[in-house]
Amino acid sequence: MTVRRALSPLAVLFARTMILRLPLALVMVLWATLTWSTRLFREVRTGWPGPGYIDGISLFERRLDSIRPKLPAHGVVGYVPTVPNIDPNDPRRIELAQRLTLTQYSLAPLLVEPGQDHALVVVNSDRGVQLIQREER
Amino acid sequence: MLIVSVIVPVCAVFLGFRILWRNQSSNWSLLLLQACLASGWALGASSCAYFVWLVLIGPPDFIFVVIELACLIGLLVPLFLVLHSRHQRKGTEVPAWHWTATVFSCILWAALALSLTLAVKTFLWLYLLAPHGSWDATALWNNRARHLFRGGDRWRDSFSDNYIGNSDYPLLVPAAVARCWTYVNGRPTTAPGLIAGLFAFATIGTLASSLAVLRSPSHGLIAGLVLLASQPFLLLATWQYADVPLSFFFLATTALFRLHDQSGVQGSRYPAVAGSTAGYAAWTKNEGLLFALAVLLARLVTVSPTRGWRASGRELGSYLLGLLPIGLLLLYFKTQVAPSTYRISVLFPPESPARVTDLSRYATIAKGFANELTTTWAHMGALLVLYFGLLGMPPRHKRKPGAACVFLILALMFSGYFIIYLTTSPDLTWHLQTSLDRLLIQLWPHALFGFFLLAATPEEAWEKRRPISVSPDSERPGESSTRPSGPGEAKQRT
Repeated sequence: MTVRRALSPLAVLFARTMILRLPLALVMVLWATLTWSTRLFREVRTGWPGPGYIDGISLFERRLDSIRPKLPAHGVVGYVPTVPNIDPNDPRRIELAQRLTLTQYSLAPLLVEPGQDHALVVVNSDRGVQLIQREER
Repeated sequence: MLIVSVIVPVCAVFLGFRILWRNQSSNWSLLLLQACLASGWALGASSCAYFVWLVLIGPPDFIFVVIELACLIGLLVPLFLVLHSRHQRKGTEVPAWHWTATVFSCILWAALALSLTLAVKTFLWLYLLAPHGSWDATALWNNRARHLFRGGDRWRDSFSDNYIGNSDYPLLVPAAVARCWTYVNGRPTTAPGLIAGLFAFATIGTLASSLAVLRSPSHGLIAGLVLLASQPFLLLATWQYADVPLSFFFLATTALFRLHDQSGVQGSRYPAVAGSTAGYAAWTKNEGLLFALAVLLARLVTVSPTRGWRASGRELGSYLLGLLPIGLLLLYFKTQVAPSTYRISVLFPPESPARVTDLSRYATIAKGFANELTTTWAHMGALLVLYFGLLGMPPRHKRKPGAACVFLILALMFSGYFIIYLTTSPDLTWHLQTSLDRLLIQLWPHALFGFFLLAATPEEAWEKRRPISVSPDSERPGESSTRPSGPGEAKQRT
């Protein structure tokens, strides 16, 4: 049995406009989502450097290739960055910390510890990477 | 071998899920949901298997690969036979594919196909730009994976204080990556890339298919489109951050509980699987522990008053049973492997009481949340508000409880994050700037799931256009012809 209810004029208007609101909502969602998806795709495509591109971390790993054969399979090595005693407020601090982490990532499973208190010390300067053998303290 | 390392466990878990959902009729949305859930679940389980082998036997090698493959294939065959014999018995079952093509559904499918193609291409290009992933991937997840994979008998060295990075972070992603590397006996960047992609697209698939099952296929497709267009989510996935796998497990847990509610069955299948996905969330990142607790509390608060304490206790018992194995593994990892000094100093900093009474910290956190929500998420929020404003909620007789639980979990998670920022962070502004965006992305698929549970589906909105309401018992089959998706859609719902 159909039950009729008296609806307020506003509710009637709200219900009747659904014929417009539903297509509007769907067009809006489709337009917005496709625009955002396309925008990101275009940004990435524009930023693509082309064939022969090598990412920064792979380049960093290649820098360490020269010292890799001289390193042990396990253990801890010392690490000296480009600027050994950097001020905590120096903006280069973050970049140097990143280099330290990337060195550990590249030399894994070897552990890298800042400082020179180890038999082997990796010196990572702008000119390249060196391995210094020291007497263990 | 890389593909084998992923495909074989996913297939085994998928067949297992097919058997678990035994009384459900098959359709595209349910098959997709099972496949997506199986992808994440299989990666979680295989990561646990790798870690257990590492602890009990030693560094996994060729023998690990052979034994794991033998076990999985040995599992695949009986699962397939069980499923096959069940199909034979049910010979008269209605064919699986009911989807009735209408102009409306065709437009949505075309838009989804286009959006998916763009997302896959974007993902691949971004992967090629940064194959090692972005900062967190190299500093934490892939770094740890390298130490697990090449650590040999001294794999525990990397959990010492000499290790640069957070030593107590759980191991789902690193162990899954190291496992794939064990299969190929090398460490190509394609392995973490594949895992990141699998989790990202499984999350999108889980959102779309679960809403298609629970609400309507068109609603699921729209939700999938919104998540595909969420740039921060896709970017974080390509950067190989663990926040995307975490968001997958958050969403999977919530969706499984909602399926449990809607099925009306008192069984323990869904809560037990939900418990395991919550466990995998905790095995992915520490935030997962908070989530597992939030789910427990939210279910207690929202389910117990309606279904009674007994039914609620049974459900939560199954949830805890699913959570238990992974919880024990995590407990072992936190107490026996991760360095205790780090954990204690982070969880109970002596400055906590002073920080709680510092009102300026509350203002900074609130400002950080407001800033993030009004910049990165403003356009997404505006779209959803407009969509809800135009379509509204479902008609009264079609409303189902359940969204409250999803939003309560969300509220508990936000509160938890707020408290963690308040008590543990030494440099609050820096901490907010570097982590809040990721925390919001973790919860984004979960929030979208809640939103689309609450909003009217296009079919329901179309039904609402009539100013004179019709009682549910008087609806005739012919009336469904006014719905854009056609009459076949009703059969797809489970």
